[in-house]
Amino acid sequence: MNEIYIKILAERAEQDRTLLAKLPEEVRTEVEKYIEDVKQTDTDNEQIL
Amino acid sequence: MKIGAIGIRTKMIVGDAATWYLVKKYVDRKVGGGIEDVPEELKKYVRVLDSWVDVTEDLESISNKVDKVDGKGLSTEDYTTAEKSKVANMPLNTNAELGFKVDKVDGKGLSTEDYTTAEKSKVANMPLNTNAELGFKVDKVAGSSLVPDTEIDKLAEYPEFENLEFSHANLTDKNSEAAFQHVNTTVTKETLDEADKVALYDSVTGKVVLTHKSNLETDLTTVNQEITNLQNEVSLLDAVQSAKIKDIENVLSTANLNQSAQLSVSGVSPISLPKNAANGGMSVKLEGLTEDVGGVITHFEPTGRVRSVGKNGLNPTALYLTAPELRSNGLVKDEIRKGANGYELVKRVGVGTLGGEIINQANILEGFVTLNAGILGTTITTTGPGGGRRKAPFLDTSKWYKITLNYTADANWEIRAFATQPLIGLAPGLTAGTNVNLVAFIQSSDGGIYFRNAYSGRVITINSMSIKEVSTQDVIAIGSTFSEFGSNIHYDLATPTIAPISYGGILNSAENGTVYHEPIIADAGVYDTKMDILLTDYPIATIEEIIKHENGVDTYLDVSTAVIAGDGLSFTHPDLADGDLVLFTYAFDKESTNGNITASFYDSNVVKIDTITGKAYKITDVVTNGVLTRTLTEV
Repeated sequence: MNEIYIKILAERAEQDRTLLAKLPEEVRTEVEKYIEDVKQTDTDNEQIL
Repeated sequence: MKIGAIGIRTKMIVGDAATWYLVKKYVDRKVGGGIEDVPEELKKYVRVLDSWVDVTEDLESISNKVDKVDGKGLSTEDYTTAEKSKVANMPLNTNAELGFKVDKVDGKGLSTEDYTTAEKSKVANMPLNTNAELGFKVDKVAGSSLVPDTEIDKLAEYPEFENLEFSHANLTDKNSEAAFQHVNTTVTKETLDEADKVALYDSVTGKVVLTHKSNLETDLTTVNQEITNLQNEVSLLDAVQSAKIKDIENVLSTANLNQSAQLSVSGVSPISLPKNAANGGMSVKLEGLTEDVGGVITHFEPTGRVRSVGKNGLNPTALYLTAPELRSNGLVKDEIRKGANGYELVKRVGVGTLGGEIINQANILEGFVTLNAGILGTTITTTGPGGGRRKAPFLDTSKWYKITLNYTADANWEIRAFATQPLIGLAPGLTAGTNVNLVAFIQSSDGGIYFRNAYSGRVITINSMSIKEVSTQDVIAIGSTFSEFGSNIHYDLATPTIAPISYGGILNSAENGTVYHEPIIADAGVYDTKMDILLTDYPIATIEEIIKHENGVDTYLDVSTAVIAGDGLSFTHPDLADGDLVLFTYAFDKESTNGNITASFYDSNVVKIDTITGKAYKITDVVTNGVLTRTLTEV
């Protein structure tokens, strides 16, 4: 699936946590990974700052 | 006799005048003579009869009379009805009408040609005997004219024309025999008499030659053909040269004299990439633009899709952006750029709010000392020694105002608040001059601002003045540059702010490709009786693409059967059911200016793109002691 859709689903999941449970498993995995990556990036940036 | 008298009497009593007349005649016939012969007893009747007869005769006579009119008498001719009809058909004044006619002359009649005044004038100017005059003339012959005898005599002095030879050099000297003594070309009388012959001067040999006109026509045709061929060759050459110039321009436009790994092209969407744009990663920068579009202040709406396609529109790649409007103020612009951590918004334009116009046209300035009246467009003059000032009293104390002036003034004028003179963007002293424009922020310290001059007799004319309230916070933020857009003021921020934005997707450049921005949004979600959009500030105008993602397979649905909700915030589709994962793109309808786009890409002449990783490398060749060393450097 195109990265842009994973990103959009991640944004929707931030607003509605029940969304992840409604997603097909392979998509849910990608979205969860994206969310984790974003969190990690934010953490890294905070540490740099 | 007695009986007759009784009968007469009876008749006299009952009869009419005619009866009386008959009686009288009877009496006259019977009696004869005069009244003396009438018996005495009848005399009175006779007298009555006579009086009646006289009256009757008078009446009879009068009835046969007409009134007398002086100068008229009885006609001996009977004036008939036919004649009366003729008279009725006659003109009112027959003699006058006859005066307009001409007498008939035998052998003459009316002319079918109108003899005009002009013709009459011509006739007047003709000789008395035209034929005689014509006899004194000679017939005109085309090309011939009369020559004085003296000139004819001169001809006898010229040599015979037969077998003449002459040159061009002396043709102008017509009266000189020398003209015929420069013999180059033989021209005989017979040759000159031939039809369609022309004489030509050969500028190389100096000779005059005769040739047939058809030869010249052939030559002219040949020359024309050669000119046409030459024109075609020139046109072709121009086209070739134009193409070469275009190629050179293209090369120059992408000249990379420093052999930088990356190049940039910039412009409003769409922008074209050069031939040396590598098939690799590309980044873009979007710059704000604020314009008054039909009275609506409009900015550049960056939310949407930046798309890059190859020269044939193939191999599209896209970058989706979600960001606030990008503004400008004439000097600086908001921008979206790719930073170290991805795309980010760089906000350079601050936005303040202006109040409404505060202008008292009747008297913009009123107040107190040593100034004459001051209204817009009139001259204010300091009248007293030490100068004076005039205040604009309609401003609130301690508030900040943006003041825009156009004035004409001589030296030493100042604009200031009464007490603290807190001015921004304005020195207290006004520049002397004609139609000077000035924009500044000023705080009204006691309800007014002042125009002041320390000298007497100084003049200033306020041609126009605009005053708008502005917040203290905005005044503090406003730098040296700002622009006014409707009720907003755009100023350059002292320190730009940088914030990450939401984006997704990858952009690749392509040789001779195209990059453009379009209001298309990508979205995805789980269908639940309808598909709601994520960005509710950008409702659906039209749907571009709907994909049902199921078991790892994308199924493209027919967008024409989708039904968009009236508010544009959702849609339904007959092929979608609750729980379906839906990926879709749609267009939104929102006013936007066409801001600038800058695309940065790798120069294929300088770098090579890794076909697997997409990374760009610069290749450096170094020869050392005859050994080539090639180095790859990621850029």
